[in-house]
Amino acid sequence: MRVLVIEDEPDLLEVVAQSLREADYAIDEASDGKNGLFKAQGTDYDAIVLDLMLPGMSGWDLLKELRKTKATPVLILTARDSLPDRVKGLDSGADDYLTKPFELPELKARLRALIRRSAGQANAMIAVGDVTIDTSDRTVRKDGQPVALTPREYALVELFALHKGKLVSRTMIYEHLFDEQDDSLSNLVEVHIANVRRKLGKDFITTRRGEGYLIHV
Amino acid sequence: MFKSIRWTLQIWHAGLLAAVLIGFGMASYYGISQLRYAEVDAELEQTVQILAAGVHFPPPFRGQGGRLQDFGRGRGRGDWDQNGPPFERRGRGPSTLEANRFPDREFDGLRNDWRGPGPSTRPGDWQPNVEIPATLAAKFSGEDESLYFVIWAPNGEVLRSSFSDKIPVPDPGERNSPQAWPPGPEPSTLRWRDDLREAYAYGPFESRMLVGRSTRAVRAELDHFAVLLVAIGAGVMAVGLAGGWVLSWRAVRPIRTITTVAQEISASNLSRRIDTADTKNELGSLANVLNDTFARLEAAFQQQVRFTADASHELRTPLAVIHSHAQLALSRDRSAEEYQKMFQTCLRASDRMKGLVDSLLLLARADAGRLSLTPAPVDLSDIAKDCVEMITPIAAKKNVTIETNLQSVELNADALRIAQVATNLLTNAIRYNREGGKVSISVGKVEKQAVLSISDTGVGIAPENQAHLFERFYRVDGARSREDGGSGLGLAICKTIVEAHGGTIECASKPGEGTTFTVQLPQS
Repeated sequence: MRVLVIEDEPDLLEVVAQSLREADYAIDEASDGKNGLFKAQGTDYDAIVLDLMLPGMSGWDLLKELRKTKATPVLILTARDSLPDRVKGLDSGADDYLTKPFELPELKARLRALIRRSAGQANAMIAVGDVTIDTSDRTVRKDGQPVALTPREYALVELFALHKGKLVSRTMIYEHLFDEQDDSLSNLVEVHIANVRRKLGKDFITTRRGEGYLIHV
Repeated sequence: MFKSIRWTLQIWHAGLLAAVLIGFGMASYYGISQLRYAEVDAELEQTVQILAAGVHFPPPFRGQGGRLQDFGRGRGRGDWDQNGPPFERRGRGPSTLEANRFPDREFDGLRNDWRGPGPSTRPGDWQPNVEIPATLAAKFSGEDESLYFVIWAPNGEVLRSSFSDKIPVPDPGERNSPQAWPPGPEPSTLRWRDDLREAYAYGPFESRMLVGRSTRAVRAELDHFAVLLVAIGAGVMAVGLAGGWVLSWRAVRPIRTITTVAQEISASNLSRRIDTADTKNELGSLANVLNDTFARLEAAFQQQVRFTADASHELRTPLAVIHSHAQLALSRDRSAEEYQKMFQTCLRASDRMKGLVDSLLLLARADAGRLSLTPAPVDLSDIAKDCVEMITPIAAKKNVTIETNLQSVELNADALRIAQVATNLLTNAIRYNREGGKVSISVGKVEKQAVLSISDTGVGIAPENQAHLFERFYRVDGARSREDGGSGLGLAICKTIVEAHGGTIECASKPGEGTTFTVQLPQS
């Protein structure tokens, strides 16, 4: 899953980005409002972590501008904890609001919930045939038996599971699995898919030639 | 309750009204009674004079010494009325009247002779003629029952009386002055006998006449008048008190409104104001003063709230950095380098918090008036020199040159605090300067004031922002990049320190050209 973090405090940006990366997210960073908006408009992120007090452009303005084109889930992470601020933040298009100082596990859980919800899944456990995917502890079971997946393979499975029954294009896979610093070769996706098929069954992922991939409900 | 303005007003009002009414009533009563009694007196005096005029003595000494006989004979009874005392016409020459001096010893003898009809040898001759004018007689006879008269003979015997009771004969000894010669109508004398008013006069030969009347009617009239006065007074008092009560209510009502609103304001929200629409008078200006006070209070309160919010906001970010880094560090095993890096970040954040807390503490102390300064004689140029030395590496990093123009100026100040001001201003001048810009610092003396001036060649400050520049947490760029550092308290602290020294700090800026901060400090 790919997340954009917009935060002007370098140390905080670093810690959020690092902790999310360690949770196998692909993270893009922006340290001011304009840059953040540019990135947010240019890519379909799974979620955006947004600070409100930003140089160049405030978080509210960014959100307003972003909502004209994108429905990306936005979690506001700010030191402004007053009730009017929280209400204003949520009303201007944010999906969640977290005040500093915050707990990293909570931030991650809220992001998971946001991503799950935006993909139309209410449950943290997603079942696809005999495969169950637990997004809360990032584990995959087949016939009740845990299956060991690499972070990238898990991310791929989660992406397919969140969009089960829908076509997932190669571009989408690139956008959601790799951050802007990754320069993974395109055939790497094929490798990951081959590995997933090997571990979860050949028919888990169906290929639509020239269009993308699909898992059936 | 009686301490309230309304009651005080009412009590004063009642007191004044009562005093005025009582004074007026008493004056009226006194005036009217004087008038009435004067009328009675005038009537009595007039009557007694008429009475006196009607008493005639026939020639008393018929058959005795020739001169007196001449006197008697030569006098017509009627002459008395028209021409006054008969003696007058006789002249006053002692040669003719020596034996008839009045009142003298010879005459005493005469009086002794005339001791009533009994012992007198010729009593019939001594009956004076009493003529009472018809109008007067009518007056005494009935229409006014309270009026009476008595005429006494010289020996005190009642000659005529309209009154059966005994009336004390006026004592001639009480006469104001011995009867003058000739014994014409004398001014009458007035006396009180219980509630009887009497006027008496002395006629010829110690004869006396008295007219009196009962003043009961007058008294009754005056009592009636007094009752009327009291009734009117009570009525006026009642109306006055009611009016006063209404007036004081009207006067106090706006105060009560103001009090109620003021209570609500102090109790709950400071944004309410007293309605001054219907009070254009003194209370209106009081309400305006209160409203102004509330406005200032509200502004101060909001500033305080904003300050607290800003302070907590400023503290939250470094706290979040420390907290999250600690959480991240503990989430898994890491290499020594990673731990080191995280601790360094934590240290940086805690340094920032410490600086912020120090600044807040300084401002809080200054607000409480407990900013401890340790003034000592220092040279402002020395302080400036040290600060420039300290700041040069930072300036060099941004390729900013510092120009100095330092004249030695002695002043009495807390060197550390003044250095803090200079450093703050220098840091700002470098931070907001353009790449390769210039910072000028000068120290001089203007009219017993030490002047520190720091200019930069930066972007300048828009006029609308200059007014707020020294406010706490005010940032020209609402959310300036944190990489610039700065908490937004620097200039507020500078101002606080400078003002604690009794000095001033000013900012002059032209957008695009640069900004100059000027600090003036008194030398002593």
